[in-house]
Amino acid sequence: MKPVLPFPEHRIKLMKKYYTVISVLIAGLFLTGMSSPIDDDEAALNEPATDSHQAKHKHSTDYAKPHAGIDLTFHQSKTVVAGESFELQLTLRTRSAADQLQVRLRSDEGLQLDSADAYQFDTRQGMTHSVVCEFSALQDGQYYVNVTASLQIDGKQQSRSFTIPVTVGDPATFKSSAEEANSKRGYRLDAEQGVISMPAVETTE
Amino acid sequence: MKFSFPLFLIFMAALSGLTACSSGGGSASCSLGTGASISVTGQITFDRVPLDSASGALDFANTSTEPAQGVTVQAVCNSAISSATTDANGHYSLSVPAGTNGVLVRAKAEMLKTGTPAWDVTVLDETQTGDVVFVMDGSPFNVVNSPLVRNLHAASGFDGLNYTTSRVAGPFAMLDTIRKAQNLVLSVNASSIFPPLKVKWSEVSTTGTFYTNNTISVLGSLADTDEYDEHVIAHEWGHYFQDAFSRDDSIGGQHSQGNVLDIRVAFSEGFGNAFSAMVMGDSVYKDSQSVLFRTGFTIDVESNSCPNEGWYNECSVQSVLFDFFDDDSETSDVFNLGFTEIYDVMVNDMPNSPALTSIFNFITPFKAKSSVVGTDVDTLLNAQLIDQITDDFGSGVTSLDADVAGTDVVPAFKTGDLTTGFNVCSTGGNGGYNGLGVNRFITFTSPATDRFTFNAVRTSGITQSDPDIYIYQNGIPLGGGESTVANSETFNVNLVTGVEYVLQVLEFTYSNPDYNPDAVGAINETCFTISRT
Repeated sequence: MKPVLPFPEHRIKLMKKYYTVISVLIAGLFLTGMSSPIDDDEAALNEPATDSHQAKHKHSTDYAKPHAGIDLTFHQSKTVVAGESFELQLTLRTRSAADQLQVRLRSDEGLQLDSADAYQFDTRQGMTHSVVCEFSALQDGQYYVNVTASLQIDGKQQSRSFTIPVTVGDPATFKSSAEEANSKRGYRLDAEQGVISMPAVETTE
Repeated sequence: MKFSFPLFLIFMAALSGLTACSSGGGSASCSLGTGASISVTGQITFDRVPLDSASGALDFANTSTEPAQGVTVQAVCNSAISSATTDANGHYSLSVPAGTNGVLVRAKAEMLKTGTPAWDVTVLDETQTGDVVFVMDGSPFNVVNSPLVRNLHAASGFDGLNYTTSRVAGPFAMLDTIRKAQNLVLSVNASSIFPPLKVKWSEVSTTGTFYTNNTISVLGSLADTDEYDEHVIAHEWGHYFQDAFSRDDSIGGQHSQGNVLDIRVAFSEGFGNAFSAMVMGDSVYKDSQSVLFRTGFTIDVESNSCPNEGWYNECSVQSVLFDFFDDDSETSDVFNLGFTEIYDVMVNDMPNSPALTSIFNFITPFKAKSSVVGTDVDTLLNAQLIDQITDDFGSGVTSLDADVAGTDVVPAFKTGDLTTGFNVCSTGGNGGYNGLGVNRFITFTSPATDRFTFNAVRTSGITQSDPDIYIYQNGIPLGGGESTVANSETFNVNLVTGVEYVLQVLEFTYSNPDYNPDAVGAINETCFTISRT
């Protein structure tokens, strides 16, 4: 058996420091995730509001762009793997009286929409409307469903677009969409100079 | 193990590949010459994709080439060895020593000027941790003895059907819109010092287009791209202007044209819409939506037809402000003032107002300007169902559109005897968080320099209510009580005699942005007795 060497005191102190720093970082990560401002356009999961000290006054102070008064929540029927079909229920709520609500859907390449891609509702019949859509994907990955919803009010149109993240398979096994997009586009990160390089169309004279 | 020559070659090749990958432009192998300075000149341009004037959708067929004005250009030989700023035609001039091999020209998505005036705007990749600036790089080249001309163009990446290559033009298009917004302010005050501004964007950004803390975030994902939406960018820059040069007490949040809004939000967003039209010289605000569906929408800020018109409506605010600015004459609109008076009020008057920012403390000092006829302002306001405004608090302004919910939403700033207490109601009927009446305001002058206790006690409405209280001096929050105690709230604060304060009272339930006033069983009004001891 190998002898266990005692740690010198300064190393123990250093380890404690690291432990503290790591703990703070992990806690910070969790807190950041929990208190992230509500995305304007990446649709939020429909979670009931709670009235507690922790839940209080975490509202967005973002000054958002104007858009149609439409809110969207969604619910995915189950955790899915490649090859399986699954349902996504979208619930749209209009904030003010309108004549008509139109909804159009489009999924990322690789994620197949197996149901209708356009819907229309008479909003005078109610302000909340649901759509159940079916999807399937042949490969695991992070996909997005793009939803554009438009309201007709007194003959004028206002729109709002949403992006719904859909995960197929284990997220730990695939690259982040940002990383993938950057590599696809030929972007090169130079962390040292703090720049991300994009290719120019260059001409010489 | 022996280290064979072929293995050595593979190792070196791999190493050089890694180096190239991390070079950010292939300039890692650059060697700096020692000869005389040789000029490298050229033009930096980008693709401007216009929006269709009727639908607001991206109109790729009419893409034009525009000069990238005022952006930083560098000669990069491992690091920047020469730097310049493009002129009004996008032209630049750099100096590189003769004998330099492997140098490249880099255009940064940055507008930087020191001195007076000054600005510092950068477009950052929102997917990266920390501040990573977008740059557009040319290819490495060698400098011998002759001057060189190298033009860089940022392409949209659209092939007629889809985005197929890098959307390099995006960051430069956004900078160009910001330059136009800066120019409107500089046209009134040529010595403006603009605080640093960051723009965060990426091709996959879904976090929304909004302004907060000297940063404008811009959507980039195909569901909704905003990099070419000049009115949208100018709208958000308008919020930056309010933050940096004026005062904006808005609580932000989602909003649309017909909403009955908190007065702070209505003014802030109405200003943003009108300001975008002023910057663009185009009254039709356009927001392209999905690239996939080629959709968009428009708002004509010159239109005087607003759903739910009034002092709580961003549409009414934008209509009034744009009429002050533009030179079109219509019924009720005799103004042709440009931006000067608007700038003057927002920069010099609104920041000192004891009231929270709204159309009230914009109009009151505006009417006092020598170039403004007060009765003409009243006429314009009346056309938007806004009564004559005589002070920063909108005293006497009581007209409401028939669709406005709540029994206690006027006056906007309530007064009463706090020593005996009086009734105030918070309403969620106009929508949660930033709907009119969620937050009720009370204005009062402190009778003494002392410590006071404010109390809110439920009188009607939601059975298990949760009132909260805040207090402001010139828009600056001095503190508040936001306990979770049911049906009451208490808050202690030190006040100064003779100073005007604003007390804000709300029912917490209604402050949820997802509050649904149309839900079955919703109780949309909760009232409290407010008192001070």
